[in-house]
Amino acid sequence: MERVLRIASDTLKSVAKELAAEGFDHVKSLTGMDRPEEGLIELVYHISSYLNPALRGRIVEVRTEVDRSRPIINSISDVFPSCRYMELETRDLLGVKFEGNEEPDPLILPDELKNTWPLRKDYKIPEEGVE
Amino acid sequence: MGQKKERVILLGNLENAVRKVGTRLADMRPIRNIRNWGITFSLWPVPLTTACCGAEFAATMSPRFDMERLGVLPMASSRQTNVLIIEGTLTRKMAKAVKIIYRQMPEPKFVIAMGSCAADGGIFWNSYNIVRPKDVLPVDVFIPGCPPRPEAVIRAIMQLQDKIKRKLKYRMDAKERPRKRTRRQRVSRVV
Amino acid sequence: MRVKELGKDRRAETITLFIGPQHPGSGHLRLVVELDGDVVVGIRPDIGWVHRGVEKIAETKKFVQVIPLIERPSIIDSANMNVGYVRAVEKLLGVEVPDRARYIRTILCELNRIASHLYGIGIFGNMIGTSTIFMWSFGDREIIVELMQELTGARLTYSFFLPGGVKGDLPDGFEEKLEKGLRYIENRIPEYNALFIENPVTEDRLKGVGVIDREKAVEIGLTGPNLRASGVEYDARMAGEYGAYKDLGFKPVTRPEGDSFARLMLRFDEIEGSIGLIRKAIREMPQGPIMHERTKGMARQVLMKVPEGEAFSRVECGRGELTFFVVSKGGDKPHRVRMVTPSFRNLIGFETALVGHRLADVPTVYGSLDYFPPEADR
Repeated sequence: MERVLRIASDTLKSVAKELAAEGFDHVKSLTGMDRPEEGLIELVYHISSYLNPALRGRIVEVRTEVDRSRPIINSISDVFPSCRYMELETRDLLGVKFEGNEEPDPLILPDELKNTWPLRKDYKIPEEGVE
Repeated sequence: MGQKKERVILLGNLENAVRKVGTRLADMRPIRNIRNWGITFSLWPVPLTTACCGAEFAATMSPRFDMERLGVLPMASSRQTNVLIIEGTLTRKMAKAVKIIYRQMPEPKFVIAMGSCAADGGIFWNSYNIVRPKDVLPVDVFIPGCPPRPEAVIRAIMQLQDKIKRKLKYRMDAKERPRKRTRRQRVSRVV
Repeated sequence: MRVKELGKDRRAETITLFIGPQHPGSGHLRLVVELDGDVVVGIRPDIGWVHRGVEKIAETKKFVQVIPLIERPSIIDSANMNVGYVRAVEKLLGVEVPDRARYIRTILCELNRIASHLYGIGIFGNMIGTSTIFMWSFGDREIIVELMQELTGARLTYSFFLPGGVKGDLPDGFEEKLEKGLRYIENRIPEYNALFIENPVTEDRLKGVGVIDREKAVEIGLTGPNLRASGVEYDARMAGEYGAYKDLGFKPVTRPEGDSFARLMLRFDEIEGSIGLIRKAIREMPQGPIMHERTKGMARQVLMKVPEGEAFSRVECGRGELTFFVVSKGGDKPHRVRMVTPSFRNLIGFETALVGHRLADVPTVYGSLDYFPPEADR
């Protein structure tokens, strides 16, 4: 990764606006990572550009952290509409609330699994092998 | 259904009695055989792609394997079909839709569960969002494989045809019986 | 026609129509369509019908066991899914793929792209009511599937790429069969042209329908053929991070129109491009090993421990760009596997392309976006 930006969660929106002004135009991937031992959920945005030939093919990694017990962060889907569904998916699977991008129904999970957050580390599923 | 002979008491209104007699006649040897032979070669599945095995099911429909020569022709609406092929994993959300579709299909109807996932979860056995089709629907034939080859799908269809030819009797779902009876009674009273 | 245009003294009312999840396309997607008369005024895709939790299951499997798992979401494009994950693991391990393995990967990836595009074209044909095209393209796809089976041993799920290289070399006499198959597909394309593409019915139904212009396509982050059909010259293969695309001099194809017809034509263009790439790869293929020394052998693959770190990889699938973000904590199982699939990124295209069109255009746009639901839901 050529550029990694580690930022505080409340500056995410202004950083996104700066990146958009620089010529980055879409989000390739939004990863949420649960880190229960530190009480944090880490969000990793991979942002890149289609149109700007100088930036094309280069990826900026923006990393930020939110509190695991109160995971609320500003949505950047108004700056980069391409990450709207990724934010909704992260909300479903990790329970991060994106302010400004809220829908009542889960996007990808069935209704009975609403608010269960399967990608958190304390959500256990059976594993192979003998106990 | 066992082969035990049951005594039929013809009571009540005429329409009910005629229906009962008709059902019994249709289940007797010559008529039953002809009817089952007919069903054997008109198995029309619902186009219900539940997961990735649908790719191989589509390949089975395509000219190289050509399911239509066995009388299998996918129809657009569930009202015109009699086979439900569960093509791969069944998720919780899809299981509800599958139940609705199964209820919409007219009798007699059959279920084929395609792929390892439809048998017992397959590679997704420990997923938080899948159900086993056997818990939801009465499955007639399972097809193993991940995904099953088109040859395996054809074999399953031939097995189902064999099953129909041998032992199909008129089947009425226990759950649906009381509802039907009350409706018929209401209709006859109006007449 | 909108309700107001009926001329009756009525307030315009909209109705909500649920299309799916059982419909004669490539199922398991529900479109919640807001209609005014028969004009679409709003649309919201309802997904999750095939969500199987691949990312969570990947955390319970060993690195090499994840390979078949991540192929399942896009089973008709499995080699391209595979190479994305394997590239990420290779970055973590710090191994470089031998040259011959890179060329074999390119050949299988491009063959799979042809098969995937033919699948998409077939489903598209089915959706707009020309089931002849479904039959043709699925019949032609079998040729490619048969070639890939000759190379890998499986019809759809190859698991042929392992970290550090590929499982096997080209079988004897494969080049001749490959050339024969490619020539067949090449000769078929004019026939598709004559029957389907230059057909006035197809042109009427597809031209100017579902237009996504260049700026909008970039803004909503479309990817793959859908993006290139809107005139943006971007393809993950251009970066040359995987395969032999850099040596082969890959150039993407674009079309400026951005409508359903351009998206369909771009798939045909890419089939031709892939045929050219495969031929060039066969001609220029170097000799040498097909697996890196450090990962050679079954035992090394199965007992593989991946050093702590994070890796991001991107590859171009049949439907667009696939990105993987793999995090390892030094064990034999991944700590986190994140995959963002092209269909998931193209999902937003429904909202842009369909509003203002008629209800009868919904299948057209659905088919032209080449949306594959298991891939989006994972």
